Amino acid sequence: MTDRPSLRARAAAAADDGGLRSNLHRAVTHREARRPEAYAELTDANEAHGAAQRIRLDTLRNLPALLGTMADNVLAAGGYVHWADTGDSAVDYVESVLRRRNATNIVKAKSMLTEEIHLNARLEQAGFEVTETDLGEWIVQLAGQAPSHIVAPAVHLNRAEIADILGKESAEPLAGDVTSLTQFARSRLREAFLDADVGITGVNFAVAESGAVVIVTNEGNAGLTIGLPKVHIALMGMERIVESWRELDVMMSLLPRAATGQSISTYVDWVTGARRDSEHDGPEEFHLVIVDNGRSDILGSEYDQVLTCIRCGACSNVCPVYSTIGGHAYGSVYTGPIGAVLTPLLSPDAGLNDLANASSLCGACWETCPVGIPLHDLLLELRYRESAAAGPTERAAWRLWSTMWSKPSRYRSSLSTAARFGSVSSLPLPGPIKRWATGRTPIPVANKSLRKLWKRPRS
Amino acid sequence: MKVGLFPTCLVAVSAPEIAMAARSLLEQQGHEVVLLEAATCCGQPAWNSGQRDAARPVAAASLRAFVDADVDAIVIPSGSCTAMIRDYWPHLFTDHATEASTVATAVDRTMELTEFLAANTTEPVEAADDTDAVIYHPSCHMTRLLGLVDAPLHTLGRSGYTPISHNATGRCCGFGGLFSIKFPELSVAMADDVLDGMVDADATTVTGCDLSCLLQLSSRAKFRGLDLSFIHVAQLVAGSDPAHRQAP
Amino acid sequence: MTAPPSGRESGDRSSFLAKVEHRASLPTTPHLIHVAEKDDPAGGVAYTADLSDLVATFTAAAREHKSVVYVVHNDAEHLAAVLDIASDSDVEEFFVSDEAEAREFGNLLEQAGATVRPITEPRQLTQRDTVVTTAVAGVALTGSIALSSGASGSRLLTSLPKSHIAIVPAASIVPTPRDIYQGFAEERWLGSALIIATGPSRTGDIEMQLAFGVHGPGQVVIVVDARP
Repeated sequence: MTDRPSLRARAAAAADDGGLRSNLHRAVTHREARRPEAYAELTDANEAHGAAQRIRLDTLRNLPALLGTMADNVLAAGGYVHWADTGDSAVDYVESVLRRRNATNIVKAKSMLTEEIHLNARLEQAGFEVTETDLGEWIVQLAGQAPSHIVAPAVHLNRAEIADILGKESAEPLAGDVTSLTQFARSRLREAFLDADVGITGVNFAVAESGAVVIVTNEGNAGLTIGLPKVHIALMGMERIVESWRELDVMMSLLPRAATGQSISTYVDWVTGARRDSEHDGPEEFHLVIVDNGRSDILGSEYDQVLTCIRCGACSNVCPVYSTIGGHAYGSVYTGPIGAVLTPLLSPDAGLNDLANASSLCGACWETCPVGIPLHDLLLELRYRESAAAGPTERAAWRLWSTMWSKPSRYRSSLSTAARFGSVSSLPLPGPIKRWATGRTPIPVANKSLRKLWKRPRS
Repeated sequence: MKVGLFPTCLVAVSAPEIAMAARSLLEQQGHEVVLLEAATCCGQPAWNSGQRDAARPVAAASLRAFVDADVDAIVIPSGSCTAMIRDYWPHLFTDHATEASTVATAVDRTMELTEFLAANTTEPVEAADDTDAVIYHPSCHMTRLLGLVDAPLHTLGRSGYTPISHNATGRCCGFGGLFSIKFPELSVAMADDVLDGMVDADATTVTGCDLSCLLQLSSRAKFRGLDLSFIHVAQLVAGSDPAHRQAP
Repeated sequence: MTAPPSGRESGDRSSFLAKVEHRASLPTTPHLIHVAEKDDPAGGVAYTADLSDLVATFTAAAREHKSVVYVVHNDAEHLAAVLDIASDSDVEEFFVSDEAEAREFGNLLEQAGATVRPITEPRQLTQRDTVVTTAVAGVALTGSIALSSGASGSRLLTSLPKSHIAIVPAASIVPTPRDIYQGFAEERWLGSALIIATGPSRTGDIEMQLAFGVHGPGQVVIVVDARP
């Protein structure tokens, strides 16, 4: 167990952080302003979502065949494939490649999977130098922080905070405007790219029939990560796969629109392995690491649908909880509504299972999700799962409530008790009712019974 | 029709006049209304906490009251309870033969108040010359779970009210049942986002179909001393000026 | 499953997939928001855009994504575009790739007085350089260009430099990205890295304010060659 403050405390602290709230508000408003325009380019967004959902569900049912085909195609093209049943297996493999290639410097394009398996920390411990190249990821890496959003890792920081972080990297004083900061990042990271021995990326979608991995960015850092170093290692969650270019197209018509309100990401890289003989540059080796790390346990369970996620982050953008507390309060690499479901499933022993409670079940995530994952219902399933771990006091309280309210006469008598005391605290409702008083006036209790009112003679 | 009113536990505890107003509206539409006295609570507080075994007997008691009632329809002045019944009772009773056999019929006869009123109106809404603006708070259960976007607007329109929105319309009030006390600071911050939008709107009366949302917002608004008043759609419409009103 | 002959496969494919197979076959009840009535969910998505005039749609979309676009219908317009580009005082020298259209453009730039060099070592292209290449295709819907490391011989030509001038043959413009994905899959253009690029490199990571030229060109100039 950790000595991390409780989820309530983390949420309260974040909700109280005016700077954070304002940074989040800006990001969310901006994203939400652009999304309708991008979606208006589709003739029928509901139909597109339906098609995407069907494609992703079919992928899960056909997963073994798709993965087999993908691996065979990568191998046939001269690439390497590693089957990593656990995160550690993936990290061990990456380390073994780095050692064999005498690599020291690694550059990375953003990959949530690599955060999930703690790749950077393990490699750094082993003496390798790892540089994130996505601007937001580089900023949080320099600040020693975790990313706070699936798509926009530094969304919790404002320009002044970022200028401060980047300023520490610069020998000369750094102007604080966005252009100067970006140009500084470009120059500094260019050195890292040129020095790098190995480039590591994630995979947005693997295309089984073609043996291709598709990686999208707006910055172009994937292009340099796979273009300059001699080795490209791509790590993929095993469920991030489609059968062919046709399914890819449907998914790609929605991913950028849902994520950032764009019609298309600035760079879509379709990579089928290492450089060809006729090419002047590109890596000599291409490695695909297929990672399970708990996904197969989710497959076929009541949470199965969570594996259809395409990591667009739209759920976070519309979530009233996320936009109030930001990503760090979740305590996990996966934040927002998808994180609240995925984290207790992938890491049940991380002490984060109460994430399922930090939701008002408003359903905005489900409404927005391009593949229609019922995150609100999956949160309810998690709460049901966790209810078995409730302590004896809590269970007794629920039993009392159930006994009292399953009989009309007992129910009525508990209501008249509440009326007599003028307070809802006397109702047999489990829960810290006193906490209602945090910033709110008391809930009024009627002093007349409805039955009596109803039976009154009418004029 | 003969209609059974399920008042809901929150209305019974905090604002029984909402049930009385609902009766009045239903009677104005020509229905006979009985109070489902044997129905207690839909079980949502326990269901939302994952305590399904505790929820089941309570929901079963209400289900029995629905089944036993000699009525053509069951009407509920709450989107949240209607959603619990429509969306989740079938799951709650999946492996329980007695209830499973009756839940579908009961659920089919159950409607939220404005949903029922809109479905049983014969004439179209006429535009009134002189309407009152009122801030309408669309609850998450009404819109996302039940898909009831137009019915409340229909009910308000027939009574001479023009529902208006604000820049935080559609955001959750932060109640979420026990969420409001498990994460009070977060819940209050969410209420503030909605209230900050309402305060900028061109009306000071807020209405909605869910007492839970109205209590959450009004108790925070009072604490902050905001110039907003809160009233359930049933009470607003039942008490509205007859001169501005068509039959509900 | 037979062991792969290559020695490039590691981990245990068979036990990995056996578990996946078992789990994937368990009955699940997906919560459907919309059952796609179409027989073919992979049949592509319909767009509202008018795709009847591909060059016009491409030009408008490319400009929306912050590319500079010239459309040339004849040699005179082609030359005018060359002169306009050559007169860009920010550019010291143009590096031109080997494809025919790029070379033609390079020759004209040189005749217009610009310093033009062939690309000998792509890796040495710096952040200050301007590169001229040919795109293998254009995408009307999004104003994107398709690039192939096989066609240009390099993955770096279009990512390292400061500016990218892309010659797009008008006949190569297809309606939507779907056509490009199909082309990639069918190996219409051979190359280990196939790219769809849409305008200059950008980021919104700092306060959602757009900044250009992060890890790719900060300026993209497209010359749509619509000469007969």
